[in-house]
Order: sequence, then C-alpha cells, then structure tokens
Amino acid sequence: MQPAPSNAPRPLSPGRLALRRLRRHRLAMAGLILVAAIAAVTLLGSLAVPTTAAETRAWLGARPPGHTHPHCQAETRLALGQPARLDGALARARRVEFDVRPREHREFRIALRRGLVHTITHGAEPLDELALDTDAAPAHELLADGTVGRGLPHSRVRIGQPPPPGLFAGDERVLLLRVTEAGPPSTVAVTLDRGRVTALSVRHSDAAAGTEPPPRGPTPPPALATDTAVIRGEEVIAVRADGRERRLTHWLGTDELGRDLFLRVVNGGRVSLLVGLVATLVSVVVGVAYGAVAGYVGGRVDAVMMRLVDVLYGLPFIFLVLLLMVVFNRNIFLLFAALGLVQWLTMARIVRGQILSLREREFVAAARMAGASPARIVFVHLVPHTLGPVIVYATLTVPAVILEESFLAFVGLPVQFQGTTLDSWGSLVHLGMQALGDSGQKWWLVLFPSLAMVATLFGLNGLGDGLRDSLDPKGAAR
Amino acid sequence: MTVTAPTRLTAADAPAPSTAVPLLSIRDLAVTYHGHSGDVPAVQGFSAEVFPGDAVAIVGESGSGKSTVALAVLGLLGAGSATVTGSVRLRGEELIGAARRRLEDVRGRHIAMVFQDPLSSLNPYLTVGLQVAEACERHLGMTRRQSHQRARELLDELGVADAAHAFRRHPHQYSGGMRQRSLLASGFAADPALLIADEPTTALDVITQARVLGRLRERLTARGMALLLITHNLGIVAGLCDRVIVMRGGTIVEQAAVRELYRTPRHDYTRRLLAAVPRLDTPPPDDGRPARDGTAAAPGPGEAGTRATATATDAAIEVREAIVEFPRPDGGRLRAVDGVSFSVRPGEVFGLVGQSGSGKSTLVRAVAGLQALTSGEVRIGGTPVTAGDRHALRPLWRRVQMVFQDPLSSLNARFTVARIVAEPLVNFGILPPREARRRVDGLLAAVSLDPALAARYPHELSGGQCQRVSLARALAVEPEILLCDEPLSALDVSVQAEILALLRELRTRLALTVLFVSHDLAVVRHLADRVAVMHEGRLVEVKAAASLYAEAEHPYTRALLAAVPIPDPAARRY
Repeated sequence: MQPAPSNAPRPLSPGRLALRRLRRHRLAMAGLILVAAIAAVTLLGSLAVPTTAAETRAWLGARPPGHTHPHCQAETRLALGQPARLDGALARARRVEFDVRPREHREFRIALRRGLVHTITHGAEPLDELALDTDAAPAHELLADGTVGRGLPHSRVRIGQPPPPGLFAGDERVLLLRVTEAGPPSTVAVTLDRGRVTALSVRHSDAAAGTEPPPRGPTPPPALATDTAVIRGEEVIAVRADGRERRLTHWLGTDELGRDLFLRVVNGGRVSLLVGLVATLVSVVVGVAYGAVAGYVGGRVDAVMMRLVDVLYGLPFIFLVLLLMVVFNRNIFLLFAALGLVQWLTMARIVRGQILSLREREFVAAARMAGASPARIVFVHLVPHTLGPVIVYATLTVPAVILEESFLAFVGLPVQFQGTTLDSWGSLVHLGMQALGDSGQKWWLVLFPSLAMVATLFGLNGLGDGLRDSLDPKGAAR
Repeated sequence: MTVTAPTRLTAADAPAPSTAVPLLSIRDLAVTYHGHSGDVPAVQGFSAEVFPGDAVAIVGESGSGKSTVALAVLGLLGAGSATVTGSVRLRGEELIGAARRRLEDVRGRHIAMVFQDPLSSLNPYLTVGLQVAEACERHLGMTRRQSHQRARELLDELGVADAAHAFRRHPHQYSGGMRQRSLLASGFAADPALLIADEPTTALDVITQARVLGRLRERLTARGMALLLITHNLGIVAGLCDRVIVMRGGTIVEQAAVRELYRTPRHDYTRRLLAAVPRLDTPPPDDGRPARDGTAAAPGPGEAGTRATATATDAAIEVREAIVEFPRPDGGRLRAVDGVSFSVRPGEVFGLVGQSGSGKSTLVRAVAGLQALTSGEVRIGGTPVTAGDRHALRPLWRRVQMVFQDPLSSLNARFTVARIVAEPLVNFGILPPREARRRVDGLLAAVSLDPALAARYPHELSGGQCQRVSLARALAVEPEILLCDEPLSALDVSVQAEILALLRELRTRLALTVLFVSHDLAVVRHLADRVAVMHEGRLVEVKAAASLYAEAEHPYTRALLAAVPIPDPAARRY
C-alpha cells in the first residue's frame, strides 16, 4: 500500500472520530480523569504511606483522620545479627532510636459490702489501702477491647471507707482494676546494615518514672550493649531514624485495630476495581460471542439461545452467586466468573439486537460474496460495528459489578484469596457500619470507603455517558 | 438583479410581468452552519424573486444548499446552529429577524412547506383527515365542522382516493402517493400564496410521481399559487416550472427561464448537468461497440418462459419459474417474485426495470445466491444456485459479483478502501494479503479512482467514489457476471452519468455479462441490450432496449414510459 500524499489530511477511522468527540465531552473527560486518578491511587497509594495495611496497632484503636503518633509497630523484636523487620521507612535508616517507657500492669480486686470497701487484693495478697492515679482504669473496660479506658483522679481506696466517686458504676459490687504504672524511660538504639541488626544497646535514664523524656545531661548514662530487645508499640514515646524524629500520620484515621484506613481503602480499591474489570471482561467476551452468534445465525438457533438467556434472566442471580460463594470457597476467581456470568446476559441481548439489524446491511451480503466465512463475517465484519454499544455498556457494567461485589461483602461474604479475606470497598463499608457506633463517632470508617466507591461509580458512569454520546451510531457511521 | 420574464405558452397561467411586485424577494441570503468542526458556509449571496403564480425551481446536487434556502426562507434554521444574513421579504415584509410568533403565522398561512418524506411528516397516531383539518382550524380560524368539511374538499381536490373516509384512515393505511397528496392538501389548507416543496416526489415511483405532480400543477394554476420547488430532478423541472435557479456549492450558478435554460444553457455546469441526465427519448451514446441486436432472440411478453428454456444450455444466467415468498406478520405470505423466467446470454447487458416493491431486488439477490427461492430454479452457466449452501456458493461467487444500491452501507465503515477491495482476493485465496494490497492500486485505477484513496475510510469518500470502490471490489476476482442492484439510484445526476459511462466501458473491456436492476428506465436504456419490466413480482415485458420505447406492448410498460419525466420543456407533461 502506498503512503497517502503528505498534504492530504490523515484518514480518520470511525474510532478516531469517536475519540475526537469524546475529548470534547466534559462530563466524560471529568469522569475519565477521576477514574484514572482513583486507579492510580489504588495502584501507587501504598507507596506514599510508610507502613502496611496489615500492621495492627491495638493500643491506638480507632483514631480520627489525621491522627499522628511515633512511628512504630505493635511489637518490634530485635536480635543481633538478625533482620530487623522494621516498618516501612525505618527499615532504610542506618541507626534507629526508640525512646520507650515500659509499663507494668498490676491487677487489683476491690469488693464492696454495704457501700463500703470490704476487701482489696492484689493476686492472693490482701491489702489495706490502694493509691490510684490517672493511669488506673476499671478492668472491665480494659478487658472489653484491650485499650486503656478513662483515667481516675488521684484518690485512695481504703478498707472500711466508701470508694471514690466514679470508680464503681451503677450497682457494681466487685471491680477488677488494672493499674498501669510507667517504668523508668530508656532508649533502645539499633544500628542497621541493609536491614540487619549490627549493634543493639539500651540506655536507662536516671530520672525516675516521670512524664519527661530522658534528660540529656552533660554526663549521659552509659549505653549497655545487649543481644535482644523487645519494643512494644504502646510504650514508645518517640522514634528517631538517623537522628530525625519519625512520626506516623494516618490521613484517613485508623480502624478499631489501629490499622491505617487509607491503606485499607487503597487495597480495597484494588480488589474492587479488579473484580469490576475482570467480571466485565468476562461478560463482554461471553456476551459478545453469544449474542453475535445468535444474531447472525438467526432462526431456530437464535430462538433457542435467546430463550436460554430469558431463563437465566429469570433466576434470582444474586442468590445463585450467594449460594456459589457459600458452597465453594469465596475464591476471587470464582467471584470474577460468577459476577461476569450475571452480567453477560444483557450484553448478549444488546449485541444480538445490533447484529440482527447489521446483518441486513449490504456490506454483509458484499462480504459473503467476497468469500468471507461466517466466522469472519461475525467477528471481523460485524462485531467491530457493535463495539460502540458494547463499550458503553461495559463502562456501565464495571460500576454495577463493583456494587454487586460490595453487596456480597456487605452481607458478609467478602472476597477471599488463598484463604485470606481481601478488603474491598464493600467490605470496608460493612466493617465500618459495624464499628460506627450509635452516635457515629467513628464516621471515618464508613465515610472514606463510601466516598472512594461513589467517586469511582460517578466517574465511570460519566465516562459511559460520554462514550455513548461519542460512539452513537448516528454520528459514527456518517 | 435581472429577472427574466418567465415564458409560457398557455394563456391560463400567464407569467407575471417583471414590473409586478414580487411575492417573495430574497436578497444576498447567506447561511453558515456552526458544526463541530467549525463553521460551514452553506449558502452565499443567494438572490431571487418569486412572483405571484410563478413556479420556480431550485435545482442542484446534494450539498448545493438548495434545501437550506427553503429552511432559511421559512425561518426554520435554529438560532444556535446556523447564522442567516441577508434579506427575505414576503410582500415587502422582512422575515429575517422577524418575531417568532409572526413567523409561525407566516408559515402555513402565507407560505406552506411540503417535505420529501410524507411518512415522517405525518403524525402516525392521528388520522389523515384530522391532520389536514388541523391546518384549516389553526390558520383560518374555522370551527371543527367547517374545518372537517374543508379538509374533505381539499383531499378530494388533490385526488386522495375516498377522501370522505380520510377521518378514519391513519397515514400507514395510505400509499406513498396518497400520503404525499394528503401532505399537499394540508399545505393548501390556508390558501397560502406560496408553496415550498422540497423534493416532494423523490420518495415516490415514477407513475405516482407523474400523477401527484399533475394534480399539483392543476391546483397551483387554479388557485394562482406560486411554487418554489426544490429538486435534483431536471426532468420534473422541465415539466412543471417556469423558471430555474441552478445552485452549486451554495451559490447560484445560473438563473433563467426554463426553456432558455434547457435550450441554451449559459453556464458550463448547467450544460454538464443537463448532459448527464439520461434521457429516454434519445439513443445512448455510441461507445464504439457494435450494438447488440436484442430483438432477434428476445422473447416476447407471452413466451418469455419457453424461449428461456430453448437457450438454456448457453445462457450465462437462467431463471426458471422463480418464486420467492416472505412470511407476513399476519401469518400470510407475501409473494415478492411470482414465477419469473428469463435468461441472459453471455456478454449481454440485461436490464431489469420496475417500481419499488416490484420484486426486482429480491430477484437479483436470488440470482446472487443471497436469497433462497421458494420454488423454481436459478442457474449460472448451467450450475444451479442454492442459497445457503456455502460450499457450492464459494466457487460461484468467483464468477458472479454484485454492486449494491447504497454506496455507504455496502462498504464496511471500519475498513479502509484498500482492505475492502483486497478482501475477496484474500478470502478466495487468490493472492496472499501483501500482494492483494498491491493489486488494489490497479483495481482502483481501473474504476478511475486515485490510488491515494486506498488509505481512506468510506465515510471520507463521496457517494460516487464509494460506488467505484464497490465496483473495484466486485471486479477484484475477475468475475464473468456482474449483478448491479440499483447502483446509481443514490447518486447525483452528474455522478450517475460518470458511473454509467464507467460501467459501459468496463463491460466492453472485460466482456462482462451484466444484470442491471434499476427503477429508472432511462438509465437502463442507456446501458442494457435487453430490458425486462417487472411489475408486482412478474415480468410483464422483455424487449430490446432500443425498441422498448417505440414498441412497448404491455399497458404497464406504456404507463411507465409515459410517466418518466423528460428534461425538455417542450415535452411538458404536467
């Protein structure tokens, strides 16, 4: 084929013309940019936060967006010569210092009789008197979720006297009280070489158990070399990596286990989008092939094939999917297949309708006379003409599938992969709803996954609208 | 502007003298459409006048801006989509920039418009009578009784069959001709001074067209109405109008009295346009090839079948007692082709003429093996054609190829020209894809197309270019037989003439046997050796092309011949 003369405008295929129209469609472009941005964040967002979504920080609990704390893990075990397994950004540092204040917990049992303190015991040992400070908290609160509850004013509990107000709630008679006492602060310093611990030292501060960080006097106490160290997240006061203070900010807050919500939303988005795309792909491939064959062959074959579609339409499909999910594993591949197989029915109908009208066009007769085989006519001549409606419907199928997956996750059937449950936007909203509380204190757990989902659906629908306008057969053919 | 006084011989509708006040005066009309790809000037510097009782035609090929002029006169161009400048005066009153309410009053009351497609111009949910009566009520302020009465009168005047029942009939129950008459009746409702008709008979067949135009002419004369006719058909213009405005590319090329224009066209484009119109009353141009004497072997009307059998062995195409039926929605069967027999000799051009719905397209599709016969037989070179048998049809289609009616629809919009033309070469395994592409240039050259177009897509080509591509594809496998299903009907006159000349040249050069289907007798006469006339599924007459005009025997053929518009004002017939 010889090249077109240079002065002639480049020939425009119908596809390119449609693309041109799409570029002028504001809503579609806004949708496209939105979806692209969300996709980019779900792919790359985890790089922006120096921790992982799986890292639980139980002592934090659910914290609102923007919460910040010294960067550390729930538990860091360090041993000389071993890999440090430090979190994110810390792993790349040469020297990391943890200022910690170890905590000691003691449990007391206080029993009342006739409104007065009757017995106080610590383990098996009876006591006459117990001094409380703000670090003490009622044990039943502690046991409920493992976090430190409300503090108590400085007060004393003495046998034969009434308990301080606020300690006993309602008509409680016996109270388990866990008292946490801060030990002396110390600093654990780690020297790392490519993630491996090469030196480890602990320096105890002279200062007694106070709230101040370890003082830096002219004569610092000596650092003692050690082989192992365990650092608990809740005991960390500050972290320095190569001399710089490291704090971790949770942009979207944390969930009940102290996991970073942003990372969970990002990971959930990856699953949601993947499910949407793959299931849509399944529906496109199956639906187009099925519809095209039914439409082109026509007659009895068409009638039988379409009655099958009608029958499948009649089945309550979401229950079928539920059943599949319950009987088999909630494997992600099964979910792809199940959701895709729900969606292909409409796709098949759309394509069949298109093919039915297209096959009467003269270019089909011309192709037959040009010796094209039926397969070639269907897949080379006819199917490309149906791509307009197919692309449009596919764009609208992606959000539909995302919603369906969310529904499954919401009713408690989240996606699993190799035995582990994967987050998706739907499951995050589900969990958020459970943790929301009566007055909605933990609103961020619902709001952010929902926002991500809504933005994606909005973007995809806008894009679909724009595609429909620009691929409109009226405009594309002439 | 110099107005040439319309010259007409009949005293009854003597033209207004040039000193009279013009009914409609258009000055420097310019219309620019605002499209996606920038502004497109559609009409520029259009000036013309229409006098009371005058019949003026605006003639031009598609895209010449003739319909835009009509829309601009009526103020129907949307403010957002087009800019209209210049002046349009109706009895001195400026219409451009007039208030919307005033324009609504003018439309229908003073200027009526009739569009091309009567089916889409009529509301399918209302009875025809009601739609005509509505116009009377709206513009004449009549009561319901009066308007119904007048609607009946108008429909009767325009020759709508059983006008009395029009209030019980919906548009779909009428034929195309009756619908167009009804539309004209609603245009006449308010006795407007001017009727603008945009291709009023293009959707109709020739016989119906002649009847509708005859009635239109009669009513115009009786009411002293002026007509602004927009058409591409130079034949109707010659028969109906007093003055002609020839448009091309948005400007007026020539404006003259009808006789003057047809006899001594001044502008080169007008000359070419007139020369391009195939005429029934003149012999085809001599293409240097001894004319076949079709009469000798042509079967007469009564013996078509027996003759076909006699020549069966050496016939290129032989059709015997072919019947094609389609199931109808009501459970009945529609017989599209009803016992047709004919045979085409090798090297012959056989014309098949008939109105829309006569079954000619179905017949040619059956010959091509694209349509199954209900009964009967089609043989190509002695081999029976069985539609649906792919393995038998493949070798057949190496010998028989077809050119279709719709230039754009017969080409795959997503293929480039090169791919379209190369397709049969590749599919039949004649050439590997690479070499097939190389062959494309030669094929394009053979149909007089610039090989540079090979990289283009069909929507970037004109209708004529598309049809040439279609022809190149058909010729790619070097077929012996070429089937043409109305290949010219969607094309402009000048393009039609070019393709016709190309077909004539090709059949001589390649010794093709051609089965040529058309509704246009004149076109067929210019190409075919023998002509068969089809009517309601039957072959009514088979004659040598040269003698058909003089020797037509069947009454239907005669009616058809009499109805063909002739581009000669002297042969005026409406």
